Amino acid sequence: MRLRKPSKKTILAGMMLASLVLMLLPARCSRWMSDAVGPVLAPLGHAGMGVAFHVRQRAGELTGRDGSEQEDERTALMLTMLQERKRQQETIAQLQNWRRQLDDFPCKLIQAGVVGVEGVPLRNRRRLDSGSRDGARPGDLVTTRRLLHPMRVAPPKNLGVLGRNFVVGRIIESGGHTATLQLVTDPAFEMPGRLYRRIEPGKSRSIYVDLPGGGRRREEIRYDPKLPDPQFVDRPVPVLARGDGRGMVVRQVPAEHSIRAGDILTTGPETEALLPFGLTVGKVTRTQPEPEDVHSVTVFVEPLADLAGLRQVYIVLPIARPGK
Amino acid sequence: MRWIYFLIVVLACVVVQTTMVHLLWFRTSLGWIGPVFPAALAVFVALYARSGTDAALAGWAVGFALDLALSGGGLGLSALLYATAAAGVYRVRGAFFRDRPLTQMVLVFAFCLFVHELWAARQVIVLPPGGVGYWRPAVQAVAVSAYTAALAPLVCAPLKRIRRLLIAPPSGRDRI
Repeated sequence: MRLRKPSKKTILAGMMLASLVLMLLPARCSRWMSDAVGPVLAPLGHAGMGVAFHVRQRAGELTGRDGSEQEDERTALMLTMLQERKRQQETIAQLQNWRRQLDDFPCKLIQAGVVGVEGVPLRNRRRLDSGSRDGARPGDLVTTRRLLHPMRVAPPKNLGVLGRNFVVGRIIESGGHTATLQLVTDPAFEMPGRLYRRIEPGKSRSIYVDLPGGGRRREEIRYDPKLPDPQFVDRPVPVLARGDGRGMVVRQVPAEHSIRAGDILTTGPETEALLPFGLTVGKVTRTQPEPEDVHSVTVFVEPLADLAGLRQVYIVLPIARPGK
Repeated sequence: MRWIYFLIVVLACVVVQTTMVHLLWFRTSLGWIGPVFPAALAVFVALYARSGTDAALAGWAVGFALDLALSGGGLGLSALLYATAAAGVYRVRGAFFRDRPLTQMVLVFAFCLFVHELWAARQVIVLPPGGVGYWRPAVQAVAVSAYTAALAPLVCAPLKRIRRLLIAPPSGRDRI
């Protein structure tokens, strides 16, 4: 008995049904399909992203808006911030402690390239050309990969690299050859972080310190003209930062902390095992009172990394994973 | 339909969409706004396909290719939405002059609005609470649809030149 060739309608019905099943399955069950096309899409994506990168560069040169001034400002801010931290006694003691235990910080930096952008701009995600074969796992942080002139005092290798780069997001899926990077501006992105309050020249910041016997004391931290700019209050505010499609937003921040434009958002507890301080994520642009709580404000943060032109990144892989 | 050639065009369109088209994105208070060229491709095929089944299959292929190009849960959603919307375009195409740019823009706008509003609604359902809500992504989807519609004639013009490569011409009584 000869089998009849299925009609187009049957094929269409079968494909629609398969799509519905795939949609309802957890992502890990259908991830293999996306991963299977990775070896085909990745090289094509590299070529396409290369073209886009050069077009963007040329357009910037022609219009005179290549962002070099912003880059210089960010570089100066980061270098100064890194120097400032090293000067603090506690940070130096921690660094010395880490140095005694290890040659370097317990993480490995995997280079990766962006080979694809989300097809529809309603999500902020990228496709990377490094996957589980390179060690990338869901949850790993991703930073920019920018080469800067090395400082005279050379910190440990990974610290030097991480200190000069900004967090751009996190791996949310990892196949054999490719991984999906969820940018910090993605509406589904969420991360515990810390807000460092900047002290401007000639000014001071007030903080509230809890006393051992209960109660609180107000302390004023003044700008020290002997130390380099920028300066930050050494007691960061723990927060939960989320992406909102445009930038990042931190809700329910107590107004007493007086967060202002120019304050810096860094990563929080998740990087404590890797580094004695957080990785820089972004800068506060403005605050806004919460409509339902007069004692809280909403803080808006602009990522310091240029996410639109992101091309090369580092995936931060902890060396000793839990359970291993 | 000449499926092999069509799938090559779909691959090229998706690669271009996920690599170079983001140069056309711009940032607004709603978020990023950019065109979605695979939607224009799906509408073009639906306008000229010989049957509703061909239009829906082509829409499914374009949507599935977009799903595979990136990730996240919900693989298959774009395929379902594109197939349904393409079938819808096929049903209503008799009321339009399909060679006119205005027709292409209107149909691409309606196509994108249908697909992206439902896609945004699904995203809101799966997001953790305390997120951006539904209204901003919904308005963002309208802006994306409008931008795509504005550029649709630019996509359809080169596709019209290779139309016979993608869609076998009708013969005999099928000729319009």
